Order: sequence, then structure tokens, then C-alpha cells
Amino acid sequence: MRILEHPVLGKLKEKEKVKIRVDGKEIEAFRGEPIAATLMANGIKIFRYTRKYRASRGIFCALGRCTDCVMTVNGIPNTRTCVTPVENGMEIETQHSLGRLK
Amino acid sequence: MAQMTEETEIVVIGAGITGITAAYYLLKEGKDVVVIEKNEVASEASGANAGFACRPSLLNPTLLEISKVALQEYQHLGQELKYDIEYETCGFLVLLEDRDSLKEWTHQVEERHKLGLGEVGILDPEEVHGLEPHVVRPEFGGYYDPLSGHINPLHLVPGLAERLTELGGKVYERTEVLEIKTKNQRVESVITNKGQIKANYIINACGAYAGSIGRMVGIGIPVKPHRHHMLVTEALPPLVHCVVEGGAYRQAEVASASAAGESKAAARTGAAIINQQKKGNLLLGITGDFAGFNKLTTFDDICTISEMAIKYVPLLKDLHVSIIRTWANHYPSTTDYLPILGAVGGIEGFVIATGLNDYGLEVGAGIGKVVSELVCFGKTTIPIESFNLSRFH
Repeated sequence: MRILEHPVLGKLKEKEKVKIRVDGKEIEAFRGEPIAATLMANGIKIFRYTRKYRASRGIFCALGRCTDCVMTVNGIPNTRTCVTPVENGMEIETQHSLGRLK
Repeated sequence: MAQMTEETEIVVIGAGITGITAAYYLLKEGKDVVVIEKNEVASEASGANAGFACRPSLLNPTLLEISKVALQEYQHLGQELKYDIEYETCGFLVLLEDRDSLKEWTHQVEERHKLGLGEVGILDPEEVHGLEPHVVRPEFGGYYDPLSGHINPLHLVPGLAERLTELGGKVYERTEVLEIKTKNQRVESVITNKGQIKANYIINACGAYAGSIGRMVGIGIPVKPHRHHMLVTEALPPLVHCVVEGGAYRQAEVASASAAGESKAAARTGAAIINQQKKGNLLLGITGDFAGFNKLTTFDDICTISEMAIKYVPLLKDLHVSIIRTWANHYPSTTDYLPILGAVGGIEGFVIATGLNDYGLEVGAGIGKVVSELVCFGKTTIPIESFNLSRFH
């Protein structure tokens, strides 16, 4: 679900379409939208699993404060997906615990 | 609030690692102990340090012996407390970047082998890289001590304080000593803002603040507050295994000491210290300077520490790692870099235990044990005469 005409962000159909990969699966996105928005629009609600209880987490505050939505983006763990804009060819991974370094 | 009046055998002033462990072992010997603390448990150097549980860098056989006791104690103290003290012998690695530091640390290794610490050695650059793949490969290898490690002082010291109260000891926080009364050259009582406590023994374990307590009984204790800055980052995946130190610090330390012909800790000092805690946060350090009792952090020090960390672990920059807290605190510094420990001539029952410089945790529980022996039996298993205050007079 997306907003087709936004008073500030403009019309959706004028945005540039790009591709990103989420856990190896390619999905369509719009350049510049937050990664979290792409995931939500594609029905992906679990972004990571917590360190202690392995509980699922996704969007919470959606404005960059709570760090609940962090994922591994282009190999960098703990990236806040709600404030990180989409770029073509991004590799997004569901993060377990604190993630892993390459 | 009604003023308290009570009697006990031993009053310990200062609830840092020294005071709390001393009280803990005294209690285990069946003594009646009260710990009084101006602020809160572990609110000074014991709660704001790099979490080193290493063997001290100073080549002093007594200190290394006390450290051995401390590290042995940490092995089992963890099981006695409700808190995970996160003690791990993860190793201590000093990166060697020039010929001089290689020479200096090769000498350290030889001397340490003579003192029975056979495990320490010099690694070549490849071995350092194998051990710490995320750390910049040092040209001249590294000094490695596999039996050193780290601990979480914020679990250890408050954990012990809590255990102490469970066992019947008392810990009074926010209680400030105003006066110490003596009679016939013997301690008699401590007057605090909350009332009076009579005691046979008073242990001054006030770290950098020990001087003010000393003045109450008319003695000078030469400890100076040495300010140290540290930072802590967000939790990260496993990045470093050892406690890692960049070589710069000790060179600066030694160079300035010989130039000034005085204290090893007497100059502005700095080292990249990278210590990853169990939860994944990195403790980054450290810069030291003398700024009186000023605890404010400076932006320059925070930048210096961040830059040093990035120099040795460039990945920190690529990962956009966030700093979540910074602080500065006072280490009790002495001019000869040795502790001040033991009884005081002319004031019976007054015992000093301070001056642990930057190795407080590394020897802490050992110092506590030695102090408790001194009070209980009048003698110690490890001879500490060389640390007596009398050496300054």
C-alpha cells in the first residue's frame, strides 16, 4: 500500500523505480524512499530478531530514534532502515542479534 | 532525620573496588564492617574505567603478585554474586609500530619471564593479524599476554556491595566523613553528616580523594587526581577479541617520565584502547591529564579518542558506529606509580589503601585481601612494606 499523491513528496508515478534485494530476493522499490517503506509496501514486517530472546522486531518509531528497525544494509549491521534512503542494487538482510561483520 | 550513633570494629571509607573488596574479605573473617561512601558505590574510578583485568604493565614483583591474587579471586567471585561480572581472560595485545616499542616490549617480556609470567610473548605481524583481523596490521607485531582480560566493574563492585549487605555488612551511601576523632594516638570514631560511628580500625580507601581524609588525622597522602577520558559505542557484532592497546601511550609515558625525571603518569598521555564488552559495546580510550578535580569532558579528548580508535580499527568508520556515552573520571595517581598501602606510624588503627593509579581493577581484589589480612592478623602473606606511606618522608 502506498500513497499515490502526496502533498509534499509528489506523485508516486513520477518516482524512479529501482531494484533491491532482501535476503536474496529481488523486490521493486522507489529511489529515495526509506528502506522500511519499501519493506512494508512489500508485506515484509519482520526486520530483525533480538539478541537475548530472538524476538521479532520491525518498525516502531519510524523516525530514527528507537533503533528497533535496524537491519544489515550492504554489509553494514545495525543500519536504521526507517531513515536510510533506498538506492538501486541495495542488499538488505534480516538481522539476527547484532549481525555479523564480513 | 535522627543522627545515627553506632559501634563497629572496622569502618571502611570509600566504596570503590578497594574498599568494597577489603570489607568483603573482612566480613568473611567474621569482622563487623561498615562501609561509608560520600556518593554511591563505584561512582569514581572504580565505575568509570576501561574494565581491564590485565596483569599490570609495571614491572613490580609485589604488584604482579597482588594482581595474581586479584585475577584468581575474579574467577570465583562471579559465581558468588547475582551479577555476571563478565570476567574473561580474552588476552591483552599491545600493537607495536616501531623498532623502539618492539625493543621496549621485548625487554618487558624478558623481565616478565624472569618473574614467572612465562605466557607472555611477542607475536609477529601475521600472528597479530590472525588474532585480530579487524585491527590494522602493526609493522613490528604485538606484545601478547593471554592470561590478561577484562571484567565489568559496574557489575563487580555493586554486586559485591550487595553481597556484603546480604552477609550482614553495612554500606552507607551518600554519607560523608566530616571528622575523624583520635584518642591517645589511636582512632576512636568517624563523624559523618549522618552521625557518628565508633571503630577500632579506619581504612582510608578513597582513591584520588584519600588526601582529604588523611588531613583529618594530620597526615599528608600524596595522591593526585589524574583525569581520564573514555567513550562507549553502541553494541556491535564481535569485532575485537583481545583488549587491544595502540603503542603510543607507553612511549609517551616513558618518554615524558624520563624527560621530566618524575612520575610515569605525570604528563598528558594517550593510547588507543579498544575493549569489546560482552554485550558488544566497545569501550574506547583513553587520554589522561591533570586537571585538578575537574570531571568535565572536553571535545578535544573525545575527538582524539575517536580518531585513535579509527586509526587502529578503520572499520569503525565504515560502520558509522555511534558513540552513546562519554565520561571523564579521576584515577588516584602517585609520583612513583606505586600504591600507598598499610598502617600509619603514630595513629594506631588507621590504614591507607589508595594510589592504585590506572591499575585499580587489575589488583583490586588482591589489595582488598591484603588489607583485610593486615587488619585481622597484623601481617600480610604478600609483603607490602615497600608500599608504605613512610617512603615519601
